[in-house]
Amino acid sequence: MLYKLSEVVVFAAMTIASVALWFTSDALPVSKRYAQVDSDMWPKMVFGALGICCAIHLAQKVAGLIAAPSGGPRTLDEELEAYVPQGYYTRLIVTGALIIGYFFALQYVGFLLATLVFLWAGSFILPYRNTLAKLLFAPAFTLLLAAFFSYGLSLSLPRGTGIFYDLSQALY
Amino acid sequence: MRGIALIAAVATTATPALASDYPERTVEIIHQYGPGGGTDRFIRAISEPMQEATGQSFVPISITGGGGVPAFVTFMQRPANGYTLVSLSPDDVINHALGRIDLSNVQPLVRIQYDQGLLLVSKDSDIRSLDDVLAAEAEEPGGLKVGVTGSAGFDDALIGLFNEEAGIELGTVPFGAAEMVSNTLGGHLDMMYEEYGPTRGLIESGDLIPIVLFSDERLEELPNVPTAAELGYDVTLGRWRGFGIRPSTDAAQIDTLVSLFKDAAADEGYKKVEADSALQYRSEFMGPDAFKTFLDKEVETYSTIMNQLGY
Amino acid sequence: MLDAFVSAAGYMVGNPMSFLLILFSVIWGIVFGAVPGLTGIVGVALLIPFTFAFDPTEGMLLLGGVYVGSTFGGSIAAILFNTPGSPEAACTSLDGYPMAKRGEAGKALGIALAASAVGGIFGTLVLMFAAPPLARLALEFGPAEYFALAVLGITAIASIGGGSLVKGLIAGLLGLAVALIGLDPLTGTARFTFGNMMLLTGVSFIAAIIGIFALAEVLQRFADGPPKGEQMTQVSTQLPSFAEFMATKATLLRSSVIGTIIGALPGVGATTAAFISYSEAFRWSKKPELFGKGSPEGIAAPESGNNSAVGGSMIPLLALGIPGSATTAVMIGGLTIHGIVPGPMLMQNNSDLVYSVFIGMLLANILMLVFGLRAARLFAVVLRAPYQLVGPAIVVLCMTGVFALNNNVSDVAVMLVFGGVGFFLKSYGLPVASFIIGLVLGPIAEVSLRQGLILADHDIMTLVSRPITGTLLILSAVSLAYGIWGQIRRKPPSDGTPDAQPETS
Repeated sequence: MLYKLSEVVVFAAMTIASVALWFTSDALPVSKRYAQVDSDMWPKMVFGALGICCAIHLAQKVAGLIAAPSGGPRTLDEELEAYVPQGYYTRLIVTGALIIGYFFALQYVGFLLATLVFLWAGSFILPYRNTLAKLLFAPAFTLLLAAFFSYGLSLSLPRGTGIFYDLSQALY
Repeated sequence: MRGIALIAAVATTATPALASDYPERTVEIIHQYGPGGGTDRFIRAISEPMQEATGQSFVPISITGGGGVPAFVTFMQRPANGYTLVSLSPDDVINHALGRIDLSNVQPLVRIQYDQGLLLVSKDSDIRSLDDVLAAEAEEPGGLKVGVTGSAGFDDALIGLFNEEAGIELGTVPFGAAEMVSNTLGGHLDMMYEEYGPTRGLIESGDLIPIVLFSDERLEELPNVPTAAELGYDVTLGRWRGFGIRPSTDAAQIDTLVSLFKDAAADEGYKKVEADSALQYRSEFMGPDAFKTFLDKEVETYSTIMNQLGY
Repeated sequence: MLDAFVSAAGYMVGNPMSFLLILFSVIWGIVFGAVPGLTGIVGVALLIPFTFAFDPTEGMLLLGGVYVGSTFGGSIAAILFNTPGSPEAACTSLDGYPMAKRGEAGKALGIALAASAVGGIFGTLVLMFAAPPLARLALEFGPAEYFALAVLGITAIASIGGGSLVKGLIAGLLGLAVALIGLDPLTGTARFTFGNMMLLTGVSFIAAIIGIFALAEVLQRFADGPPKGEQMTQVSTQLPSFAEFMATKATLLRSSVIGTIIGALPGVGATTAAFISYSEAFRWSKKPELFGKGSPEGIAAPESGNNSAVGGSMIPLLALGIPGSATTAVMIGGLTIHGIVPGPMLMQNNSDLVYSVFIGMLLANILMLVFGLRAARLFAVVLRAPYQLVGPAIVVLCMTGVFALNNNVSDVAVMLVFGGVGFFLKSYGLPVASFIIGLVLGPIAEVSLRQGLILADHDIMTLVSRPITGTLLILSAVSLAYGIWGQIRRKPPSDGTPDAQPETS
């Protein structure tokens, strides 16, 4: 039920966004020389079509909700859609946050340190019996990858800033 | 391995160098054109003798698209430690004139090449000379379409200037460099604008025929192709290639780089690469001061042109 | 021609070094293809300085081998980890990963490899025997024809996901919308960049697909919780049987032809070839319902398509001296540094070089097949490693690779955003395949339509009445109508809105 409601919200938002972006396209600067094939021609076609498709889909969803407001008999597909394992959203948020954290860490503390910590943290989100493997894998993979990129392919890796930059500079 | 490279670098720069330990690692040169294109090849060619002299690599970093703005923004994000250069060309001047980037954030370093462009037609075209172009335009203004590379860039400005001078209305259609050639050969485009180097093979085989040259004098390689100037249209602008660096870079490093570039531009191997593309005629080496003066004049020229073109 | 061939073969036999070079370059290429973010272009560009040490022929053999290897390499990571190593492998993920997930990784890799070799050899043979006529055919393709070709590919978005028509269209149009971001290539106007300078260059395709496929998959797997031990623990390294492979022969042939022709067109390359091959395979398949769920045809089509495009893109390079793809553009740079002028005279003036390259590319494909089949079984074993460790490692590899591609943090940010987009598409049952097709073909369709209109003096009838354009457009219309009709027939609209189950690809 929650999923169906969220669908209605999402496709309604997309319909509105398409219309808004259609008007954004309309407001693009006009080029004298290419007036008949200007910057707004293709975007208007795309957003116009997108708006119509989203509106149709939205109408279907709303009609479905009205016809069977409290579920009714569900198909197997819908059962599958509705199935959410326990702890799903917690793990989703933790994983997402960890990846975003890693992205910023790469820029501030450089590749080696950020990767090491990320791999350690990442391996503990899901339970796994072999703790030794978890502890050893992170440094091994980090060093391997650093060696591969900076010596094998002579490509640069993120070095971080400040003191971390100098540290990275000395290592790779 | 790094240690060995370091020793090598110290050893080669131990001779009277201006910044004794510079460069001690790879210097990156950011440019806005595709890998394998004219500028990319130019950087590879000029960096050959410099690598021999210093033991360090000078590598081109290609950041394409966005009219060259992303390449410039990337350059601005790099630290001013002498290890990141940016390639400069008329496209950057035009971006400056259009307010997309600010060239006062760059210290001009050296200008090395000065190219000259051609209008070319396919061998199957009815057009054989500039007179044919003028006649066709007189009959139907704007009827002829010229392929150019880049949008609102150097090519566009040059054709625009030529239109003004000749009182015609050639339309420009932006293409990728390869598609521009195939569309001209296939007869979809009436003409194209390109430099001599990339089109040399097709000119020699007779598939593309140059009809006019934008330069001060005729090329020895193409003695039968008239310049626009001798036909009475004063359009001699060419694409030039140079380098810039962040203004706050250490002065000793700048001096080292300038002398490295100066030696490299006089190197035999590089001279040969230059001659392969008929680049030796107008390419005159310019140091930081001369390049700065030149750049200021270019900004003025292109600001006027872009204004006339209605940008 | 035979003389040149024999003399080139003589050169190769006289230079055992060249075989080693080819072997090295194929492996180098496979590595660059397989590491997410790094592409064949980077692999070729990094090798150019080394070609100084060799004569031009050896240099070209080296570059050709990298090109061949990298085009296949991308499919390894695509199949094993849902992480397309290079753009042209994005399509291979769509069916390769589901098949590997079923435990048939060896089979998926084997099909990909054999299809790559078939496509590669086909493309090279066409290059050897029909380069000049095919180059002339490619010249017939102006903007109008490019537009029609893109439309033909785009019409597949409506049906390809296997779900509802409207959802397919929405996903495809979203892809088209994302492709709009950046500087308008015609007028130079910034569109939908919201003041971000780095977005002027548009959304980096490689960063976007890695986000959509790889990051979204890692997020999904981690959110789903510990594996129940049912799928990945049983990894079969069994290669496909010859009969299984031959079942895709019609697809192989069709895709190879499509790939070679598209490869020969300047400006469009292996990625477009893979997607158009995939949508055509879907359209003509007897079992379209298997697509997206691990169909052998769905792996064979893009892999034979993108590898035959390698040979195809060498056609304009060797026949006219203009690059058919970004990688061949870098190769042209390599040639000129050696003082060779690329152009129509190349085949006559440097026939030894040209024919050595032909033989080298054939050898590269054969070597790839021989060594690859052994390596494929090894690679498949990687899947036995626990996902708790592999998942984070995939994230690290993707971030590092995407960063190293341009030394650009904003590309990594784009990848993160598209990880979210991929997750969103999956959650609402919007087919990823349609989205990606819109993203790949959108820019080609837009730019060529507008260029075509300028050249046709803004008369749409002049544009569509050109013979090739008209044929392709009619073909698109017919197949679109056929697809819609098929869908209406399969699912009577009376039972409300039949939704697809969430996409797993």
